[in-house]
Formats: sequence, structure tokens, C-alpha cells
Amino acid sequence: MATSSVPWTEELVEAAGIKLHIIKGGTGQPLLLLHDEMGHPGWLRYHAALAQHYTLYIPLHPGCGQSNRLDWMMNVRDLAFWYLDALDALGLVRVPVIGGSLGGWLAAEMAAMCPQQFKRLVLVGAMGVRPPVGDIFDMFLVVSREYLRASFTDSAGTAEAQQLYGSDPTPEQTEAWESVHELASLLGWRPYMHDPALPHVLRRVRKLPTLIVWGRQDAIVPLSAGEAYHRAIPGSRLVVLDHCGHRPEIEQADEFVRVVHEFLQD
Amino acid sequence: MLIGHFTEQPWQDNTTGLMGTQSLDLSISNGMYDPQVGAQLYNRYLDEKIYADQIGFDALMLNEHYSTPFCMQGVTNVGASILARETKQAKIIILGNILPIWNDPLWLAEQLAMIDIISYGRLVSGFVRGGGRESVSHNAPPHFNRERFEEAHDFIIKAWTTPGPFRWEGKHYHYRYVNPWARPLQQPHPPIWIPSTVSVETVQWTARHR
Repeated sequence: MATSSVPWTEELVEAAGIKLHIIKGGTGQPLLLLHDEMGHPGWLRYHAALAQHYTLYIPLHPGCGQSNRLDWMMNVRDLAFWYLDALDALGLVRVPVIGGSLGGWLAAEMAAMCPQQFKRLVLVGAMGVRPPVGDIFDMFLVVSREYLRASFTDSAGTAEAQQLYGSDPTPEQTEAWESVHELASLLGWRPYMHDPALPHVLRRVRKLPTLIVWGRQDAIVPLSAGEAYHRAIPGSRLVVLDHCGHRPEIEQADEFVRVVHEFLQD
Repeated sequence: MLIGHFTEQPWQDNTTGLMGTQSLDLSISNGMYDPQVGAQLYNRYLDEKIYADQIGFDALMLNEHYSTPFCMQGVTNVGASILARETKQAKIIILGNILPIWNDPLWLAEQLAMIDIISYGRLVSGFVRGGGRESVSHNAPPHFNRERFEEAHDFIIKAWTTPGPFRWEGKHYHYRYVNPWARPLQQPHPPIWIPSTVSVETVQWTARHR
């Protein structure tokens, strides 16, 4: 995987009634990335690799970074409705989307509501569906450090994980995590990080080419949830990565980029 | 000057060594709970409160916490209800009910009204926001803790003071028919205390509601 640095920019844009903080970088067709419950961690190797082929759009969810809050938002469906309007405002129509974990749940909700908004859907260790076997790890009973430790099958052996999370968090990191955890709590406090109705509405996604990527050792959202997504979305493809936890984009970055790029090119 | 009798009602059990000092640990299983010990301790703490009333304390103060040997009383209204009937003159001060964990504050309003009536108007109704373990134990959404606290407070005051039936369409609470038969004895309603130790915002909110 090439790792040459690709310039990225950030801006505040008016979108669907609020100011939205958005990270942009790369060349080529737009590719939307929806961040997870730990927020946008910065420009990583997989961003740089994908940015060689696509222009990445990484919005910071309402309440995160400098994005305004949505005071009326009560659940993930509210956020999904708002985001569809925001994507229209950004001109992101028929755009491929990648959502990881909490961002995957959001992507799945939006895709079920409005499949025609997207060109392709990539779900990575997505929350949102109750795992038939096991439970989604409770992030609110542990400190962030412990959550991150559980997010990797081998964080010590993953250089990028060490760079990001290996030492004590900086004040900026802690603040960013607080914001995104508040959002995560709002969206997923109960039922914990899933919506019992979601598997039943996911049938609408069947016309949208869908790739589901999961770490075999995912200790945050068990693989059984990935299999449930796969069953709920007719025609979807499930790729399970070995020696990989909840963050395939970091822990198996090369393989992740290869699989995703291949799917997006298909 | 008001002199009240207060204890956290700690669990005290020589067999397990749990003596009520463990206040934060979420990993203590209630598999260690011995109901026989619980029966003795609950009755002992009630006897102490009744004695405090007899010897002239101004107030009997109660609180609640969850899932911890630090405080045995998980439902303060149970203790307050018994004292409403079994004591004669002291104020019964609840410090307090944890509003954000109540999904049905109408039920709370009526319980408190009954305690006030049965005690012939001796209730002081404290309201608190609760701590992390309270949100976890009752799975109350922490991001709405303050909004739920404020809305439940406003709702309970209205339920106590405004003749029903009326409707309540709030953000977190919704009732199409509010008309609790029991209304508090004290008028316009029992005194409300807001115990607060760490939140500047709560102190400011309380000052605005004096």
C-alpha cells in the first residue's frame, strides 16, 4: 500500500441548518466516510491510500469538532434524516459511503431510508444490529483506554494503533472523545447501540451494492452481527479479516484498503 | 438550626467483610447479599430513626444509592413511607429522589404526596440528579440527565399544585391525563431541597427557583 501523504483540508460548511465541520482530501470521485464512536482520529494510512483514488469527505458528526449540535435529535434515525439533507446540500448524491462501528449503523440507517442516495455501501464492524451471539461491548462501563484496548486484537503489534493510542491521551484527544461519547450515548444508550427494527428495514438496501467488512476477532461488535447484517441485506457480500479486531482500517489497513478499493471499482 | 439524623445505611457483614466502605466498585456482585443480614440491618436503621424521633431530633434524613454496600437503601420512598407512619414529630427529609431515572414521574409525585399526607405534612422532598452509578443501574440516559431532572421537577410541582385533569406534552415526559387523586397535605406543596455538591449549574438553577 502506498503511504505517500495526500494533502487534506478542513472547513466549516452550512448544511441542513447547522455549521458542519468537514475534512476533505484526495483526488477523484467523492467517497463519504462516517466516523465511529471514537471520532475522526486524524489522517491515517488508509485515508492516504484511499485518497489516491477518491476525494474523501469526512464530516464530523453534529456536536463533534466544530460541528454544531442538533438539539432536537433523539436517536440515530433523527441523525440519519438530517444527514440525508446535509448530503444533498454538499452535493453528495449517488456517493459511495463507508461507515465504521457507530458510523456503520448511521450509514445502514440512511441506506435503508434512501438507498438511491448512495452508489455503494461499506459497513465495517457496524453497530446497529443486535448480535445473535454475544453482546456489543459496553463502552460506558470502561475508560476510553480500556475500550481502545478491546478494539484491537493486537494493539501492541499494530504500529498505527500505538501511535494513536499507545500513550496517555492528549487533552485534545480527551476533549474530542468526550464530544463523540456524548453523541454515542444519545444514539445508543438504550437499547445499547442497536435498533431492533433495523434488520427488518434493511431489505430496502438490497438494490445497493453492499460490502460488509468484519474483523474475525472483533470484541466490540461480535462477528455474529456482521453475519446478521449479511442475512438482512440480500445480495450483500461479507468479508471477514483474520487477526483483526474492531478496527480493520487500522489493524489490517493494507487488506482493508485492497478489499474496499476492489469493491468500489467493481 | 435544624438537627437531623442521617446515615448512609451501610451494609455491615462480618462474614463477607463488606462494611459499607466500598462506594464506587461496580464489580461487587449481589451474590454476596445475605437477606437475613439485610432484615436485621433494615430494622436496626428504622429503629434508630424512630428513636431519633422520640428523643427530639428535628429531622430524619434519608437517601438512596444503587448496587452498592455503601448504601443499603435503594428505594428511599420505602424508608420514608414507614417513617411517615411510625414516627410522630420529626420532619422526614428525602435527600433525595433521583429525578432523571424516573420514567414515570407521576408515580413519584403520588408516592411523595402519600408520604406527606400519611405523615400529616412532615415531608421535605429533596430532588437530585444522581451520579454515574445511578444512570448505569437504572439505564437512565446520561446525556439527558439535566433535561430530565428539570422537566420532571416542573411536572411534579404542577401535578401537586394544579387541579387535574391536565395534559403534559414535554420533551421527555408525556401524559394525556394527569389527575392523581392524592394531593400533598402541605400547601402549596412540600418543601423542596436540592442537595448539590459538585455542580455549579445546579446551584444556579436552584437559586432561580427559590
